[in-house]
Amino acid sequence: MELNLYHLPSLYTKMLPISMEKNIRLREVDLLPQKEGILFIPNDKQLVSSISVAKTIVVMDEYCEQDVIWWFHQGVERCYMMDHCWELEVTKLQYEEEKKKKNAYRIALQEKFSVRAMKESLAYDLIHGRAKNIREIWERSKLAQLTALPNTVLLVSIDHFNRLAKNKGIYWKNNLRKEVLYVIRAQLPFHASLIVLAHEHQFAILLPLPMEEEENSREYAMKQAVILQKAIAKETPYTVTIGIGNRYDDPRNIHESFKESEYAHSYSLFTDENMVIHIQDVEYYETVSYDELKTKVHDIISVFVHGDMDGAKQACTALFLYVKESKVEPLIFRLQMIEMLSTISEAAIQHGANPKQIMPLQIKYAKKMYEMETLRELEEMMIKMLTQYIASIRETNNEMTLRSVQIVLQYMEEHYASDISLDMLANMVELSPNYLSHLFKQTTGSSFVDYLTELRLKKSKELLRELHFTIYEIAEKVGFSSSQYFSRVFKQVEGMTPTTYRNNVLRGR
Amino acid sequence: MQRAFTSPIGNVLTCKNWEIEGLLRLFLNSLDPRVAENSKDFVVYGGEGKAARNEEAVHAIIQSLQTLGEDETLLIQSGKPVGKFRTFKEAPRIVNASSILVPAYSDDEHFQVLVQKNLMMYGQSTAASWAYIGVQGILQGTFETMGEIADQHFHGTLAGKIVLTSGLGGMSAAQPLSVTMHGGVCIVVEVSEEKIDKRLRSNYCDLKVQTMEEAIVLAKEAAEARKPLAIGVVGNAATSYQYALDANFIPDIVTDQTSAHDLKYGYVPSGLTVEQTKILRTKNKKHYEALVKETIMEHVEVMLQFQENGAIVFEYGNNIRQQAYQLGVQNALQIRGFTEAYLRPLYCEGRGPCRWIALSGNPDDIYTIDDMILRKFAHDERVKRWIEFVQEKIYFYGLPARTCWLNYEERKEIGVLVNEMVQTGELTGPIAFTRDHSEGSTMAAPFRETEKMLDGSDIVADWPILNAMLNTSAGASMVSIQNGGGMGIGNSVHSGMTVIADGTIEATDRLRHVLAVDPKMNMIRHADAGYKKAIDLLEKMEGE
Repeated sequence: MELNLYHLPSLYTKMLPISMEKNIRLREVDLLPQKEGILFIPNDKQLVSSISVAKTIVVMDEYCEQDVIWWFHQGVERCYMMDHCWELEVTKLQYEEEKKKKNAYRIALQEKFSVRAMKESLAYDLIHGRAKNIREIWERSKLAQLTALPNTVLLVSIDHFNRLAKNKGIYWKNNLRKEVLYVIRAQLPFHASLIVLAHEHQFAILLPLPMEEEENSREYAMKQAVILQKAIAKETPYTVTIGIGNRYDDPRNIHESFKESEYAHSYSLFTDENMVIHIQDVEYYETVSYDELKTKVHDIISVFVHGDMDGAKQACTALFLYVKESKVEPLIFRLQMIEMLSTISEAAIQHGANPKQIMPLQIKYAKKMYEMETLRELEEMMIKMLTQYIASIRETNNEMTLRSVQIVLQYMEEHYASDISLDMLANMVELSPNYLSHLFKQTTGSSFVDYLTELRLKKSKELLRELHFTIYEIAEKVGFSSSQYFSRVFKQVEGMTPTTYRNNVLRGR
Repeated sequence: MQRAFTSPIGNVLTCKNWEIEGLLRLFLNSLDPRVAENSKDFVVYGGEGKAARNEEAVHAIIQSLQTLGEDETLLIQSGKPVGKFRTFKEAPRIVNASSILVPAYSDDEHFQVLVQKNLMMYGQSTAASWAYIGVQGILQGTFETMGEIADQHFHGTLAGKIVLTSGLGGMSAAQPLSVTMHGGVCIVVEVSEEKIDKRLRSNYCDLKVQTMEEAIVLAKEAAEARKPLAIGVVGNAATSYQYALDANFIPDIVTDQTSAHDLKYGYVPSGLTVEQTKILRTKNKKHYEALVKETIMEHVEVMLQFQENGAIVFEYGNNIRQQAYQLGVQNALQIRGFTEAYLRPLYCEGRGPCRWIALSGNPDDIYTIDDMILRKFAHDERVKRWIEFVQEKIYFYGLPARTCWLNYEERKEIGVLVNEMVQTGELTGPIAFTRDHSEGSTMAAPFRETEKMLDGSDIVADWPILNAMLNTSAGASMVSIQNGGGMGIGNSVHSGMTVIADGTIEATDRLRHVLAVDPKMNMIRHADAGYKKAIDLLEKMEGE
């Protein structure tokens, strides 16, 4: 817009040349930025409004320095004043304007970041307890354009961030965070909240909850958190878990709220992701009984070292169920898990697993454990670890296990007539029945029952050929529970009864 | 569930004008859960000090004020509104009398009967006069006291000195902060661990310990390093003091702010927890009272022994000396009262606990006034030190407020200055000027404010009555006359005053008069009693 500013004291208006009067056009005043007391049409309003020129003219009767500056900022380029000093003022203003244009980028950045920087620095100082001077906090909040001092912290944590960000670069992570941050900012009023990145995957939001009773403060905070959570789930492909601290009216104590929000969030270990947890709903748990934990770990060890994966899974589930139902502090439990991993790894090595395989696995899972966000994930991780440990045990235990089968076979050879069971034999060679059964078949090609049956039938044939013993006596001697059962099995396998077999032998002589 | 009362903020009126609105906001502010000790029972502070008699009275007061005319005066009798009268615009909008009994019957026994019958209410001082602003009020009084002690005994600082005291309730919580403000180390004994935790959160105490032994070790270390430190010790005051004495630990300064003024409901005897005390109080009152008496006597006897061993010992306004004296500790009164020892020189110059509250609810108003004071009264080092310190330390709960012990000239001037700031819009809303009752002319308390007067006029109670009548004549917005504040029923008579700076010309006149006569009365009272400082200052002002 081009503006020319004219100062024509009313005395001179009448002296304007007629042609000029005819050639000037005034833009309609209501289209121009209004400034009270400035825009007026002096003298003959009707006359002035009916004339026109290419450039817009504002005619002022009286003015002051502020008016000049103000009109300059509206775009006035030339000033026609009776008093030439004002022209100098305008020249000065033009120079300043030029200078600003040259530094426009820097000035724009300064404006953009000064408020943001003030907000962030205030937020960090508050959550870390570094802000001690009440007046200073108040003044900084004004510079940060806050309408109220914050009193509560919400910690918004992106679920599975480590998994999502695995093998991704820093820009990818930044973009992920930006997506979530964008939604958070859209939900929260700019002038009422502070938002800072507290950890790689967590935003701390400092909110001013309204002045209400303590109970209402909790509900209000929960409500705000749920709104945020739903918005993020809706507008991004991510979910968040939110920990909420107590309300502290004195802003110097907001760091307590921050610590509480972190603590509340740590209890997401016992829940699924996408939760909202208020510190008042969290009990400050004691550590789980160490002896009980040791017993549970021993239960796992006692089965997995024998290669019993099913048994190991069951014992694992029992352990985590116990942890969930007991009073346990999340951080302490993670430390106890490190110890458990160590104990299990040691047991695996003692039972034949290759240390060169086990040690790297132990380190890998110890690191991975801190990425796990829920008990369910920890349990799955442990089962995965046990599977790998069992494979290692099995792999390096071949000689040992073969020897076990030999012992079993030897025993069966010597005691075929006795009451032998798989469980008894498994116990004898310190393997699980399942595993022994698997090994037996792998080694002999035959199941334990079939092998024992065959062995007993073989022995019974020898006795049948000798002709000294009755069928009844033979059945007893080789370990069958009755002669009828012996006869039935014999016929099933040999295709003839024991008596027929004996008769055939006799005829053959 | 009972509704929580809080003051409205902003510039929307709910009453006919700002003078009345201001009084309503002060009333509601007193009941704000963030300000009051027990807002559910309308107890503002000091154990039983109430702003209104009961919930019905609260609603009646609100309703009365919202309908009060600009030329009407509301009467409040012991926390209950009892009548409205047409008076003048210049007259007070509220006149208030609380807890006053006929002198011959003015004791706790008779009083409690009347309270039980719902005829009276204990108003403490600023509770009934709606002038309570939280711990800042007492903090400044304590600040001034400690400042005087530092000036009189320790060359102007408490650095390297240890103060032993007790009590972290509504009034007494100010102690540790006021000591550390002067660079000293404070051990404060408190029987309720919850109260210590509360003061830790509000940054009045630096740390909490469970035994006196720990506290003494930490205190000595800090004092040696000349670092300020405030240590909260969980324990009974009498027992802890005895321990310190037995351990040959003699602090530099010893005082006490347990609720000794209220032996019936405030004081916790040795060997009992707070909960046990509450139970014993109801189940076996006689036994409780016997234990209390025994403990109070031990408590004061230990303090006397500290004094004998060279400590500066004084009573800080809870009447513990008198209580012990009546129980048989003959030399209990050898312990000096804080007023007589350290505050009376300030009273003589018209300096007193002036306070103002931003009715807009905007902290900026208080900070703007602070800045004005620092400019206008830059010569007053005491004021400067206080304002700078309190800006750093005090968070505003409820309506933002400031207290400052300005002298006569400063008090006279500040009202008009602030009124102009309201009028020009420099402040975002009107300001209420009021004060604590703790001055020589506004409080007749023979064991505190008027203890050991030069002319022996300790028990003369004319002065607070005169003060109230004078303030009424001068155009105060609210005037109160009360009994028993700080010292228990029958031990004090005192008056309160409030005047609203709403930016009007009428307010200018009211402020000019009230904020001049009120502190000047203090000087006159002390001059009348023979205090040279007051006499000399008044002579200088002659003709004013």
